[in-house]
Amino acid sequence: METSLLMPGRGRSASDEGSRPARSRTTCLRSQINVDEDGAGVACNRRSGKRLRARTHASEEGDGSSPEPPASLPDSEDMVREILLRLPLDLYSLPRASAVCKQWRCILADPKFLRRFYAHHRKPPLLGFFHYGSTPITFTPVLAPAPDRITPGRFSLGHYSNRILIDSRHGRVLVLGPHQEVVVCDPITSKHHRVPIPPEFNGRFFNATVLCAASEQGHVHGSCHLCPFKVVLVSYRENKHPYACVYSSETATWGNVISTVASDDTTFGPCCSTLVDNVLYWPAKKKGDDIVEFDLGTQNLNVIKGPPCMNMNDFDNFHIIDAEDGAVGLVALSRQLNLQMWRRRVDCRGVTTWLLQKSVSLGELLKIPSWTMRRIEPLKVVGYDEDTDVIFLESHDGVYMVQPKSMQARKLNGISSTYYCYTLASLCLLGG
Amino acid sequence: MATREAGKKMIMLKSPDGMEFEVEEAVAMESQTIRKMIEDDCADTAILIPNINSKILSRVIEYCNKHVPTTGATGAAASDTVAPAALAEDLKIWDAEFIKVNRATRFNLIQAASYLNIKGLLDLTSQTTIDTISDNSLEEIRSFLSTKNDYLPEEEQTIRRENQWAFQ
Repeated sequence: METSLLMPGRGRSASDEGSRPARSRTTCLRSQINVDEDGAGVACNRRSGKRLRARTHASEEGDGSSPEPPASLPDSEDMVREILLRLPLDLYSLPRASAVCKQWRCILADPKFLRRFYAHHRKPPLLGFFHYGSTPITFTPVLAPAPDRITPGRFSLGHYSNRILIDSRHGRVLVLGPHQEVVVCDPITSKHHRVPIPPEFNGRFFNATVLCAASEQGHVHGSCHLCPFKVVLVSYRENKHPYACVYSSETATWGNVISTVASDDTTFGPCCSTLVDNVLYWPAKKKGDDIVEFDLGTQNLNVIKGPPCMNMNDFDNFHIIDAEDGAVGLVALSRQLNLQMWRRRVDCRGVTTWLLQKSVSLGELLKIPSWTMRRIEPLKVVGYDEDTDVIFLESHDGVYMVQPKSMQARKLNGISSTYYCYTLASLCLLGG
Repeated sequence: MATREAGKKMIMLKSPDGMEFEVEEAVAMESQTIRKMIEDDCADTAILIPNINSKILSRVIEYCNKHVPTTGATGAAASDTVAPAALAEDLKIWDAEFIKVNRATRFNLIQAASYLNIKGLLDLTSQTTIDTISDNSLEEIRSFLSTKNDYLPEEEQTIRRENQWAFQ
């Protein structure tokens, strides 16, 4: 069993005993290893043991059936923290780990640990979402286990709570203002930033997007409240000519209007964008399978094709998602009550194909009996958060959070239906 | 007693059980703790590594030896001649073999990596531990880590009820 401890290394200080890095005292090392053969780490605190204490007692509760000797985690809380820091960032891991023992629960509820945890995963926690409850706009928390129990209504859009929600991203929420303007609301700092829309969009229907514009390398969205932001507007002329314009808070100006031509008549409608890498995507509506694509880097506006079998008659049955590695993807609800995950692949010649990566039974995923599902209204996709990779589904019995990649789902308490979930993800509640 | 050998500065590391390991300075400096000692000029004589026995220390040195950025005979970085992706893949395979140790050794390696501040080793050992247990039931996790369930039955029931969806 212990031979792996003597596994020859491949370092440069190879000796004739193998390539163990300790070039001298080979014989002594051998004998020392033999003494330690039980692997229980007993020799460490023979002389000084204050900084790192090793538990030396073999556990009474070890796995008796395992051929491996039982071993305890070091009783240093720092070690436990280091291990728990690597728990997966999914819906279940933190609540489950909290139930292991009191020490773990204590660590997992500590805002300082949680801040490190999300920073380690380079993602902010999803705190909740804004939606139209009974008017005005309300905030529904989803974080679990919540570090300090975020209460419903914890965040507010202030006097913009009666306006129309358009978008949310990177800790900011975008609403339609009263005077030919959009308003960027920061629910964490309660600050609002009014942005008058350019004349080309006045009086027209448009889709809008807000996003953080922090450009420093390694920036992790989650504490973007002091960073500059961008707003992107997209509208359409005669159902065939999409055009876009970008506002930068750094210069407080709108850029040039960028336009393109769709391949055929496409009726565009109101919908939320999805940010993948540095490219924004909006689905088109009613006809065909068109998706509007805007590259924030190159400022290119295009209309691309979605999966051919898509039923885009309504926005309720699919959502464009980030399929990782810079690829755009799509989750769709099939008529067979499956959740499908599609991924767009572009080959070296520029030919694009949509691949069906996964198809999962919604009954199994949401733990709803299939006989109930057959006779209910179709499910709807009512939201998506790129940063945390969570989609929101509405069923006859409530609203669910689903993480397609981990295939975990959770029913939300206190909300029976929603038009759309405008998510709020931020590190702010976890201290500085 | 730092020495020089074939142009490479050597450092002596001592374990508390009396073993001495002569390693290249660059290898030792994979540990941020040791790097700081060397940079602060606190490493003229052998460095005593408290609480890490010779068996574990030898494994740690083995890890650092493999992970130290290598230079060829001409002084050119090996990454100039070998594709970085291939190097990374090689290291990944090596790491996977390296971490095939029993639990006690792995836990001791976590301790050592944390004390010596070797990020790569800490990532490898902690992540492997989490990967091993993340699909297990609570009972299996407790058994694997020899952690005692100190909840009263009713307390555990409350926790499970609060996040029922995570336990179904």
